[in-house]
Amino acid sequence: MPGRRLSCAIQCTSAEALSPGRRRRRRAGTAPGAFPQEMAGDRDGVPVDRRSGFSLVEALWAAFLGSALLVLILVSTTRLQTHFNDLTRTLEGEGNVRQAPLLLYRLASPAGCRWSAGLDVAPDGTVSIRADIDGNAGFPDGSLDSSFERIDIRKKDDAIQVRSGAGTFQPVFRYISEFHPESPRPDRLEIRLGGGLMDPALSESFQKELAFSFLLTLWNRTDTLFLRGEPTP
Amino acid sequence: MSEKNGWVLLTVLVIMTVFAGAAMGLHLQMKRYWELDRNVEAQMYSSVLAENGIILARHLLPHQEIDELLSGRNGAFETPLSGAWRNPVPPAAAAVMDPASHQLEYDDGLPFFGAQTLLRSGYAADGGGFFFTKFSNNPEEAPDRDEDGIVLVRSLGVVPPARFTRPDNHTTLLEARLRQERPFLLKSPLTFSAGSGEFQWSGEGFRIVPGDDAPLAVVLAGPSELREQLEESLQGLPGFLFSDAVSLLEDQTESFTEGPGRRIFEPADLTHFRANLPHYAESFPPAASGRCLLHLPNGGSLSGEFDGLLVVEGDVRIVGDARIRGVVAHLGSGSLELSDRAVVRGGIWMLNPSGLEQGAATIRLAVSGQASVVYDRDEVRRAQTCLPPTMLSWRILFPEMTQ
Repeated sequence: MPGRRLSCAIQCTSAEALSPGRRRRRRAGTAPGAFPQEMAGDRDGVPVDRRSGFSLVEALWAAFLGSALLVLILVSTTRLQTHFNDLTRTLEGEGNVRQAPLLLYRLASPAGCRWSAGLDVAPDGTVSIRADIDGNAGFPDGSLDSSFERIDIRKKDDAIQVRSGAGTFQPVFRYISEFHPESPRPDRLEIRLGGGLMDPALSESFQKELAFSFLLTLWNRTDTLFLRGEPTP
Repeated sequence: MSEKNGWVLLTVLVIMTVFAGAAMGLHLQMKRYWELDRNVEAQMYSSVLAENGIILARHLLPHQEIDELLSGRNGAFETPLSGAWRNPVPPAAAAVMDPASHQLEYDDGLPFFGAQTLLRSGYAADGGGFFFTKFSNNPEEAPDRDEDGIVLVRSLGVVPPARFTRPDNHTTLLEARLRQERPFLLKSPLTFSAGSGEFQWSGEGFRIVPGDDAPLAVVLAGPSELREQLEESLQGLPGFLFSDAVSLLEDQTESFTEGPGRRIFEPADLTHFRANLPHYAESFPPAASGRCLLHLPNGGSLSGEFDGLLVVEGDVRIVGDARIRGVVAHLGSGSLELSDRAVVRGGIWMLNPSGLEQGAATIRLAVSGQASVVYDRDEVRRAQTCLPPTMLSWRILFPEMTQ
């Protein structure tokens, strides 16, 4: 019914049905039917603009569009949140994995710095590093008395764990899927490292593997033309 | 503005705030990891730079006189011996300095050639980083006087911070303990170390020209008949063959066996040297790469030109118009023949200490024709620069460790 307004299309004609308020307004001379054509009164006789409000079709459209918009917002928000979470975890995972070589380099490269055994890779993949890099006078003193002179590194679950001195293993990096150390020569430490971003909770597009290997040359253990001949203190 | 429009504005503002907040959170998180990534990269880069400094120092050390190196080009050791004086730059200053313009205050421990001091400022690498390198004497000795040939070298890698990251430089400090190797620092044109020897001096055309010391020298690290056998072989030879030197033969055992080069007389050391020589030396003919350490493990005949340190074994003939500048080291048993117009400018050392090989530690030398051996101190020293320093230790130094 185009043109019909839903707000109030009923004219009040029965004086008996009028409320005391309406009767007062009627006594004041505001007679029924005296409204302009575009105006109508409500049941209390208050003038109502027939052009305001919504038609039924408009209301349906509004409801439809509103619902669609709501669904759209919900879907977008959910997807955004998922991507946000994926991105956060990816960043975190990559940040972890990319820091690992630096730390491993710093921990492992002094192996066998001077007078000490140096490097050992156990069958279970635990890397033991013994490096006499410090002493009371600030120089190697022949004893491994500082905690950072005795380091053990291993992988457990998805973490790289490090133990220094007589302490316990503490996780340092997460999201590690592969940690494969090998020492083919006394002066070499090869570590294949893989970052594990293959979590099923991640979106497929974010699932990727950061795998790389690095080769560490232990300078102090390389061949020399002359024997080192350093005395053992 | 109507009441309805106000609600719309409010709703839009709320939605925008939510989205802006989410975007800001994501941005901050990404920035954090970006910074982390850049920091890791810069730290790795500074480590590589510091290592480059150590490698450069290994190449420079053979060319330096250590005592001169420790005091710098001005010849005076001026560095105050306090704090981390061995460092090229103190750790606190390294974090905040401008590596492009920073210059080391003292030249002590900085290598130099002629009037040019090297590494006074940082070496600028292609990637925007720098390294500073400085030598110092090992802590067992006085800071300005070296006797054992051992020095410390500390190398600082510095990477300026990237934009929008932390303000401090990324630094890595490494220390290596290096030993300069000069076992073949001869004083005479012909030096012999063995249990026994056979010598042939044929004709009157050859010349043995000494420097300040005698033309012939023996270094006797153990029981030996060498001196007597050598003296016997010289009987009746005219003095002009040896430039009329006052003393033909000199015992230099003390100066060799009590100096840093004494290790070469230890059978284990000499065996190690011979075993590792092929990894460091070229085989004949030498390539045009400029490497100056040549190894002939199976002897042979030489008639060309060579500059540097020539290590030979077995039966070797230096003949024809051979021109050798530097040192010829003949190891083990076997013979060395000098004949024709062959010239060795520098020195020859025949070394076969007892216990090096099975059998008698005997050496055999035959000199004939117009061959000559002319002692040249500069050529002898230059030949030593072909020997790489031995790395005795290597470590990363953290600020709390440096002294």
